[in-house]
Amino acid sequence: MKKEGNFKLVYWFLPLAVILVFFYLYPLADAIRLSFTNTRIGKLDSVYTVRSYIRVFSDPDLLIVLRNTLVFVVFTVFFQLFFGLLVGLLLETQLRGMGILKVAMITAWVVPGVIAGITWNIMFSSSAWGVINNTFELFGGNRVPFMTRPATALLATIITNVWRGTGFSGILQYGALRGIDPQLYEAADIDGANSRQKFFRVTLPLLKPMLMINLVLITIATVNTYDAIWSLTQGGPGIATTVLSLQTYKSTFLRMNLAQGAVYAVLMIVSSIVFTTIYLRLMKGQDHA
Amino acid sequence: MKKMLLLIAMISLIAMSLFSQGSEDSAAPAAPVASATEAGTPGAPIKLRALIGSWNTMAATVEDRKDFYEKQLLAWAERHPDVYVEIEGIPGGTTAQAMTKLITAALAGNPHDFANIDSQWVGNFHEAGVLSPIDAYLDDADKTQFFDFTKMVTMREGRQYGLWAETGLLLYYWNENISPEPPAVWEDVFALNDKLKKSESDMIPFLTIAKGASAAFAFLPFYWAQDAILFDPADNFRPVFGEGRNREAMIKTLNFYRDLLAAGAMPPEIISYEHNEVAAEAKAGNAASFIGGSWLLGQLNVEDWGYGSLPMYKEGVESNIYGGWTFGFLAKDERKLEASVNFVKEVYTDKEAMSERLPLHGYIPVRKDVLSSEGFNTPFYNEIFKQLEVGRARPATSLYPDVEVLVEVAIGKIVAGETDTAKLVDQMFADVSAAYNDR
Repeated sequence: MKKEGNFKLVYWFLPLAVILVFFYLYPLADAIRLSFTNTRIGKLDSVYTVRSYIRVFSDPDLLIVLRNTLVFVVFTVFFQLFFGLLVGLLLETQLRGMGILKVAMITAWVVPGVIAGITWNIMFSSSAWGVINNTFELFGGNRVPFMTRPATALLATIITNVWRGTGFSGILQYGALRGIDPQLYEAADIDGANSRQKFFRVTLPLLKPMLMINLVLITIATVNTYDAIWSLTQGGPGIATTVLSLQTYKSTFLRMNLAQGAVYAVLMIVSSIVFTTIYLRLMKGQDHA
Repeated sequence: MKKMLLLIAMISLIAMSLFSQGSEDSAAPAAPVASATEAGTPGAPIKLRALIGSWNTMAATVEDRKDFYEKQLLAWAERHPDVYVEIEGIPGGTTAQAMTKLITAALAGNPHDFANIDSQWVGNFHEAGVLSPIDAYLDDADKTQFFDFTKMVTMREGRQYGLWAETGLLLYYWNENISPEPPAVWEDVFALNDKLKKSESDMIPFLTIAKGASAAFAFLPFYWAQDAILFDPADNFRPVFGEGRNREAMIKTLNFYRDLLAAGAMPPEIISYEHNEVAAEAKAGNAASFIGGSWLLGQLNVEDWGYGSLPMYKEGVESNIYGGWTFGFLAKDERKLEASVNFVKEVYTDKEAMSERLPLHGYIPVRKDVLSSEGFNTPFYNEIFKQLEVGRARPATSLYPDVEVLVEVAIGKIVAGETDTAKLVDQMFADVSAAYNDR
């Protein structure tokens, strides 16, 4: 009887398993296989080799790309979580105008990355049409050449991605906040807790599981982001804003070097796994604490 | 019972759809059609699949272009009732994706019968061996009237594989109110900078394009003018730009950019500028001179702006670069190949079609008989004719896109503060040489 039950379970999971194998596992395995070849788009004949790895790891620009990726991911994820939490708390207050805030947050999130990049490119421009620099000037400041200095260009990409992703983060946090039993706050009130204590002793501990899920999701999304950066800076000046995902795109679609593109894609997978493992360890550690 | 009913319903639906298809086939021959997605007589025995830039079809956003393509397609359809073409458009700004998809489909044995191919991508298609020779379907005019630079790209080993449809080149534009005599050499550009600084003008002395593929497009004429080459066509297109005289020319050209930036004669914002952005700065009165596409003239007030040769490293030297799109033919079936060539010639590239079509777009004709005809005897086209004698097309090798990406990165690094241009050239050369050796 039990055996028959297990069989049925397998039967129901089979379509999902087929989808996972063909649309997730196979492309992943193929990307790894391609990284050990010299495949170029437009060439049928390729051989198995580790040369693509040697080329990528001996590229003097690789360290800069990895550093850019780390800075971009760490700052984007931190500020998306931070502002997302603020948005969630603000929405929870049920003040007037919160409906508009919700729509604004969701709108920023659903805007395609390319559009976000183009819009912010216009806003950051040092030309007469750059609204941010015009605002600086209006208040007596100097124009900042955001796109032409490495540090400010990277800052611009982080601001753009934070703007884009805060909505998603905020909506998730808002959902988690709505799930907290109000009786816990009433109990805290009876115990004489102030607002700060209620936040750190009740709200934050109960938000932690969702914060961790949020952290993993936005980290993976940020590591994979290339569209907004492409339309904002094209990875420049030079390679000052080139991150791993953008380097993958450039290698594959601009230089037609599928093998080296696959090596960068493997590096992206590895970095996603590293970030996620760190988060999971942290989460596990807190569960035990 | 329910299952049986469902089965009967499905069989009935399939039978009805087959029947309706059959009745359509047996009806009288359909009238010719022309739209953004199809042209010719539906149900005709020769059915072609084409991939064409949307701007070159009835999907064009400008009304007179749309009307022109409708007229051309209907006239072609009347002459060829035995052919029907299914048209897929290439949206603007998606060249790399479209070309990558096309070449992959061609290698998998499922390409379109003919396609618009960006001239800089033709080398990839040659090397993939997916193009079909079309010499048998060309007449004398097709063989003799196209400029030589087109043949260096569309021909391999004496056989022709494509037809160049239109081109664009670079012009140097200068504001005649600021500078009645245009800078002819690089020193003149620095002199213009000094002059503007002395008069405390806020105007940008010199603007060029350094974003995306256009970065290399605007850079290479300066390099080629020094009698330098990127690849050696006699040696299987081996990269040579990091060797001897070529290396010196590459360094000298990067130094020109570096020194312009250091002197404040050119702003670092060039890395955000494509053709339309430099034209916008000029129209806003912010630039005294700029390098941009020949098609930008229509956007400027011609009374204020002069146009002509690019300033070069020394006097008496001229250089230019030719972009644009070709048509490549991928059909293997002879009937389809002939029908494809006829379609392209009659709608796009024969003398009459080119004469009428290209002025609507602001593109430059690539046939001598078109440019020397009466309608093109204007000061602008006379200048263009001159420029078409001094430039080069981008090399037809699959490694050209590597150079294009790396030149943009090198210019960006200079903007970001890198001053060692020799190091940049050596790094670029090592990169492209490795790609050449790994192929």
